Amino acid sequence: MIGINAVSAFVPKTRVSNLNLITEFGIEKDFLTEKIGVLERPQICADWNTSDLATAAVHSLLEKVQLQASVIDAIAIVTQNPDQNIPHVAAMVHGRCGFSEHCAAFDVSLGCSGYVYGLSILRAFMQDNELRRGILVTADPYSRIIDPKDRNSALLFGDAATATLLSDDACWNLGPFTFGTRGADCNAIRVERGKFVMEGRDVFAFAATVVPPELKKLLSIAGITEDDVEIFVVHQGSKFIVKTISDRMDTPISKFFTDIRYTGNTVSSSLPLALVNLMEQGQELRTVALCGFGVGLSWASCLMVRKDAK
Amino acid sequence: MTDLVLSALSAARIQYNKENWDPTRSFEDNGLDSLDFMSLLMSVQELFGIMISNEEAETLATPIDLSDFIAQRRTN
Repeated sequence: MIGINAVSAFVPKTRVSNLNLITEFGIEKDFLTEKIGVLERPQICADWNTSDLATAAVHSLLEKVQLQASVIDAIAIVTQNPDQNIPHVAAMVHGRCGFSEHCAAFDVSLGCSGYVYGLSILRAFMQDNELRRGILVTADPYSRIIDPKDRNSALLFGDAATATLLSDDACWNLGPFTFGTRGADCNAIRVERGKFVMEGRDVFAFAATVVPPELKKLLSIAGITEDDVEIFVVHQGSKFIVKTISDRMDTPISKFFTDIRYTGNTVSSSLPLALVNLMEQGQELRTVALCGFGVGLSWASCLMVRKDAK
Repeated sequence: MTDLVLSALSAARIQYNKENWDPTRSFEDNGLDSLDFMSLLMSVQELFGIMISNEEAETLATPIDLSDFIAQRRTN
């Protein structure tokens, strides 16, 4: 069974401090720290593009697991900000990292729900084609599309990329999965004349009303209860939305991963970045519930269960 | 009349300035920030089954404004 073997991340060293922008945006420090939750936002440098970010994440993963690029059978990249429309980012990364010509490479166009979608897509692709090792990359540098004067988004988003190794000798099983789309409201998050636009109220109401029942549905499908889950890792849109989801599930906030102080909302990288963080903390986790939500408006959730878990 | 607003605040678990609650003053003066206000509007919509457009939301500066709005919508 294909599952998660390892997760690695690349976070740019260049950072923008939100604390320095409090006066400009006319907000209180408490609002920044307790509601938005983002103190610093990593940003790629001007001459970097999405493929550079993705390549850095792949190198970080290969070094971590001590594998050569030549043994990878497939690479899928989740992004909605490709370097250019043609060629796809996965092909660019494939060429730079030295993957074999037998390695499949494709992009997946999704935002904050993209990691969970990507896990299911790549896993199914690998199982269907009897592939042993695949890499799922998330790389969506929103600094390229955010208007630095936009109150709704300028303090939220950070740049980062992640790479997840899926393999047949994995330590984490995946599933069940749930997916959904509310296409009627797709314009609530959009790019207009090259700049990102988010209808804050609509997106907040969407996340607050969709995610809690979705997570409960996931647990019900799996035949488990909240007590069986060590931690819920939901998309780190803001500290406020994570708290709202925990309130509406009537589940203590301590059961939710919340930390975007030094990364910001990294779109499809937010869930795997949280996983890297949790794994580096050395927590004994057996069951983790993931839920991504955003552009589309779309959502996806799944369970990660350690193979040796009872 | 602002009981309607208080019940929506409570349902959404929003922290506000209880000791100096003054429904004639702005939501900000009563301890609510912009995200609390967004959460309050969603709570009102869910509790009372009414829709509040972004244009309407911009006219709701105080708890009294919101309370009057709810009462008006409920009688219509």
